[in-house]
Amino acid sequence: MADSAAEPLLELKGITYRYPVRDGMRFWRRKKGAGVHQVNMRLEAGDIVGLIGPNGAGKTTLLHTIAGLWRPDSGSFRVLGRDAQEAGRRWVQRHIGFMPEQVVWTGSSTPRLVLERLITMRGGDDDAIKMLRLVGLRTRADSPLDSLSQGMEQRMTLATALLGEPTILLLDEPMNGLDPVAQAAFRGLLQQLSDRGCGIIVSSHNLNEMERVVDRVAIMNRGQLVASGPMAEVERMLALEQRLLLAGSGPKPDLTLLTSEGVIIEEQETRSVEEDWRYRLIRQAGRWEPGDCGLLTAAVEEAGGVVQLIHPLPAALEDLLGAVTGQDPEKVGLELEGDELIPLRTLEVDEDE
Amino acid sequence: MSEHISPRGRVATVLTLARFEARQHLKSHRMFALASLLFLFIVGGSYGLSDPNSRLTPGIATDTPYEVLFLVSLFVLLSATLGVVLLGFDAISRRRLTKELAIELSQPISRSDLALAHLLGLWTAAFLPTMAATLVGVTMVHSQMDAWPTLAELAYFLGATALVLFWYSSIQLLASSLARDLGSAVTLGVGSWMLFTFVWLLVTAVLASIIGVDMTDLENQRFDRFSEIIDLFSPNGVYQLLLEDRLTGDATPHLESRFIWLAAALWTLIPALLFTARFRSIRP
Repeated sequence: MADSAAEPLLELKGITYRYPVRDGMRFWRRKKGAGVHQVNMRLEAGDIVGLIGPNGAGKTTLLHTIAGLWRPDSGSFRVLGRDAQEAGRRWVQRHIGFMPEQVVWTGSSTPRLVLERLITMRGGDDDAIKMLRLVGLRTRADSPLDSLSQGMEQRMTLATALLGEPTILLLDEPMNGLDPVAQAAFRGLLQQLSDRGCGIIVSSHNLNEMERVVDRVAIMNRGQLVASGPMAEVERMLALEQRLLLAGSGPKPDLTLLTSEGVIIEEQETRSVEEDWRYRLIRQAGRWEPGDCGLLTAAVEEAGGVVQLIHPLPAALEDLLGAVTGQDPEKVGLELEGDELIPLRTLEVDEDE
Repeated sequence: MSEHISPRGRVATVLTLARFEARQHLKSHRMFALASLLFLFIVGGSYGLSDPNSRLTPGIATDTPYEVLFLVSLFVLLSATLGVVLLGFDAISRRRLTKELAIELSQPISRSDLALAHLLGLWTAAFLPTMAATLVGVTMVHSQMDAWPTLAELAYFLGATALVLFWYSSIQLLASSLARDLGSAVTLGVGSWMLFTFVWLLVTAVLASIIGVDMTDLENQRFDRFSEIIDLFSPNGVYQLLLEDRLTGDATPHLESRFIWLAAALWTLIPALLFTARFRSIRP
């Protein structure tokens, strides 16, 4: 651990793993299927990296590979500065905590017994009750697993990942099933772990929650890591359109000049009583410069209005994901057919009805 | 930094994990059904077969407590091995489906040790109630015949029973680790049990007719020898041969003891090694 300060906690170099799949009727033969290809990634101490990507992008496969559930086909990774191959699977797994996606805890066993069993496997001296207290399951320590709710099951799984105080934490969809209070507590816990120097990779589809937690994002698509880095850097790299929010009171300003500069003006609903109007300004090329706010304020005041709000809007994770994968929610859809699912409807009532 | 663990430490870990596993099986709802089944078959069988007034088929002797135990072994094959199926058919596949297996496999422990712990846990959970039922059965035999089997006979019977349950535990866990869903887990688990318990006689008959051994004459020694050889390929057959080996007179097998013990050793090693190899390469 002496050189761990200089070295990243985790460094992946060209990691490739492809699932072996049956070759048609020749059941004795296996061919290479989907997986992850040539993934390079670094995880520094205290980093919280959000691993995002559409379904089947390879996020879980990558986490499983790092967790030592199988050996990569090619590539190498270093954990705390040591080559994983040389250090051995058990040494690597001692430093990694892994929380798989949506574990279902069933049976008449209890959370305490499950943790004690895992503690025996780790050869450690953790206190199962302390762990259960940490995730808010102290009172359910001796309840049958069958009686746990979905949220409690998630917390139980989190407790298993935290055994042995791992230096690297891999979390696959950790927010699933957690109520808002538990989500907030979970964010707090992640922050605490990060402050202690733990490196965390969180894979999730809950992008809103992710945005509130992660320092960096790693975007996967079709088994490849297509972009990674701090949000702003990835945003720049992807040349995402720059957005700015402008709201005010009084007469609406004349912004037609902006359209000639390639800015799209979207009028939005006001959010407070002080606002008479609100615009979202999307610059398709270039960036909003600091001086632009002054120019816009001047334009508003010239029209006789007052600026209530003006600030750039950071790109949402959805935007990053969409930019990388080329997916557009409006175009992709879910192609629902039949009447098994009734879509939400808005009531449209004529005034004279 | 070294991950070297002493052999003693490994053994201790495996035994502790096996204890967890066995405890989980013993406290499961299935154990209630299994315990009832075991007591009904083994205790009931011991009581009925040792009844001096009972009339069995000519040629089947129940003159000594060990001979009664030998016949009770049929009930062990019906109930205790089914018990292993009940407890073990989804021991791995369920964990795989619930993703508990992914958590287990991400722990810093040798997969071989983990496989062995699963195996010993299942075996312990099946053997303990079987042993309890056998001991109660022996007291039934004593109440009917006013005689006890010798300690050596009882130990031999329990030892052979422990072996057959170990073989079934290995087969069940191997089947469970191969299964991808609950349906295939049931099919593989129950299917393997049915093959050795019910279908084996048919397999023997078919092979005998192919080779040209007459099986219509029950006194035909050639068929006896042939069926004993075929029985070496079935855990039930080896179990029966092991127990027969201690009988006296005409009931002793034609095969030499060393072949029976060799088969027992192979049945102990091969399925367990296959399961361990499978578990080492399993993907959650």
